[in-house]
Amino acid sequence: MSFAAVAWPVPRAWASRQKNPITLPAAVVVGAAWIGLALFGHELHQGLSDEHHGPASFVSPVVRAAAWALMIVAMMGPVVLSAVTFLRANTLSWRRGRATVQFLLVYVLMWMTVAVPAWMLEAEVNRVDSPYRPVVAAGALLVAAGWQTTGLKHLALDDCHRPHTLPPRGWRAMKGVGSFAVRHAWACIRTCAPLMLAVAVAAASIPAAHLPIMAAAAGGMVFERRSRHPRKAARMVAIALVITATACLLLAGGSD
Amino acid sequence: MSAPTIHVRKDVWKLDASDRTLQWYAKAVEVMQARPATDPTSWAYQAAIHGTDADRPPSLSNSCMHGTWYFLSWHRMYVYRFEQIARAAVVEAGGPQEWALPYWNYGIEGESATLHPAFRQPTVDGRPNPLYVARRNPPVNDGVELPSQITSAEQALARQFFTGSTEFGGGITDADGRFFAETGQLEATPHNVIHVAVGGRSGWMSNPETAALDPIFWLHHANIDRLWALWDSNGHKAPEDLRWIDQQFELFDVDGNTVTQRCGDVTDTVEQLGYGYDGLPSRQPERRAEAQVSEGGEPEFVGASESAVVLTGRATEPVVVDVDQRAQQSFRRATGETSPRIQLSVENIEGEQNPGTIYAIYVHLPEDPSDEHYVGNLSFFGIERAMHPRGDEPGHGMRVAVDITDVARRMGVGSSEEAARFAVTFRPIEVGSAGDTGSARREALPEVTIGRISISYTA
Repeated sequence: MSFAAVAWPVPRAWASRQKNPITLPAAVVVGAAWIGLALFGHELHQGLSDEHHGPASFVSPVVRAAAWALMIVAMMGPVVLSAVTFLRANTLSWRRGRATVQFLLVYVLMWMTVAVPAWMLEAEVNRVDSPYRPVVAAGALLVAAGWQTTGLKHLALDDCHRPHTLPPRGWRAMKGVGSFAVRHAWACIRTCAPLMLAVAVAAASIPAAHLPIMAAAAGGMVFERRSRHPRKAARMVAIALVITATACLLLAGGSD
Repeated sequence: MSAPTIHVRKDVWKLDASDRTLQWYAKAVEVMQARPATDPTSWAYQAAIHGTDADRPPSLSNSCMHGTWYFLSWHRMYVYRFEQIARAAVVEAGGPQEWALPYWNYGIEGESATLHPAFRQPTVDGRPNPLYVARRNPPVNDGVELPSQITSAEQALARQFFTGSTEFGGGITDADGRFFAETGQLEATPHNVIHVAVGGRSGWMSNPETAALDPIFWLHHANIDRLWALWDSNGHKAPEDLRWIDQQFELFDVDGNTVTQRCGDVTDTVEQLGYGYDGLPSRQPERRAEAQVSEGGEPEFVGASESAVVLTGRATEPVVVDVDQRAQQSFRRATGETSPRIQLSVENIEGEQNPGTIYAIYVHLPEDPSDEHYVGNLSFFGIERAMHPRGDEPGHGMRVAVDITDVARRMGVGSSEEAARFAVTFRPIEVGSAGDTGSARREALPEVTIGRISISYTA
């Protein structure tokens, strides 16, 4: 009897379960984050940008941090999925749950540091008169487009695909997961932070359009991360950003 | 209507004295080398398609596929298109229309495992020999016989399935698999190790960016392609997954125009591409009656070494890999399997430069080394690109995986019902006595670090 005939019935079913068992939970979490952004994101950005409500600090820092975390989960969730898949495939089965939680916590915490410049930029946007805000949004998108074409961006994108050594057990395993999360988050931040900051500025400038702006940016990030030709994909995202910036400028011109 | 010509690729060591295949090949190389590097049919451009370190590489440069299930199909297309261009150059020089690229079957011990003299002579009739390259491992250019551990495709040909890193053709690398290097068994041995054996530490063949500049590259790859055809002729199957079948690659035709081919268009050399190999049937046999699937199950990680291993050119101390009991029990509960297939992976291989060393991997090696403990080879072809991707490709790291089930069973370890411990040893394989893979220059070898060695079970 051949090996194939003996081995198939069990592993096929098992393999299909194992292929990527986190896809469904990840989709649920990311979907919930998007729903949260759809329900509350507009109000948050409205609150941040509404001159009659005073300065940006009017909104509780806790709420703002939660909103930023929601944005990270929604936008970076699909991007980080392959790293989590790698982590789980290279972690002992009984450690997978805790390793995944540890990785994601560190990853999100790293991204929280980007919230500070984002809030500072949003505060600056609040000082700009409403008619000129699309121009500010266009400027931020053009800066992000420029970053997309740099060598540093491409190197960071390369680092997003780098594997990491994960010791199997004990404190070394915890340290390994932590350092993988830090390294991967740092690569993600270098790759995507300018785009995320541009999104924050654009969303604060044009609160009514915050959701499509975020969705388009998230789509662009997934596209360049998963492309077989990441540099070409990054350049295509840059072109899309330039087109969006042009649309913002036309919007500003039309509102004069 | 006459039947289309089938071009037959022949064993370079079995060409008879009157056969001028190699002379015409040398002529084609000369013609192609004389063309400007901007011409896609030139020698330099064809080599750049595989790899180049040029700052501004031409279109389709650096597009070779390694560490992936596309390795065999991409290289089949590449060698096929190159052969058409070389044949046109042969005909242009007055040679025969039926000329075909020969192959180097180093898998036969003795003379066949040495580099053919036509590639070793610096001059022919007082003129530079286009087939000679000085930047090779010196013992290879001296005609040393390559050891059978690196020339044999026996392990690869024994694999039942195409898809998987311990299988014949390599593992799936799609968008979600970028962290994994999925080198298949034929790619690992003999493909990678022959590259390193011929190139040595700093020769062209050892680096994907220069490998295709060496005329022997094409005979080596014709042999790899033949071994795929041979495996196929034994009733095995190429992937039926549409991600593989429909994957397209671009290359240049004989006129220098871009052409696109799908992997599914190159599974039968005779029917689809019009060439075959001497000694192989011209038609593929009917597939075996029983289920002949081309995918293995997903491996389940059950244990790994605790710290990194640094390779410096010497044999290592045994590296202990303990199988975790809880992970093992969990695997058994999920699969019901008590005698799993066992996969050993050498992971996160990092180094700035290929040291030109080839290591044999042993499990539970006694003081008196024995082939019974040998499980596979480790070489570092492409390590530079794994570290620093060229062109527009994502980074992927480097990993080598081998199936050690049979060896483990012989040693009496690896049942999922008992604790298992594996001791893994790496020993350098000498190519010649004075070469730069040999002991004379070990002190100066660049270091390579292995992040961890892991054990996985497959039901």
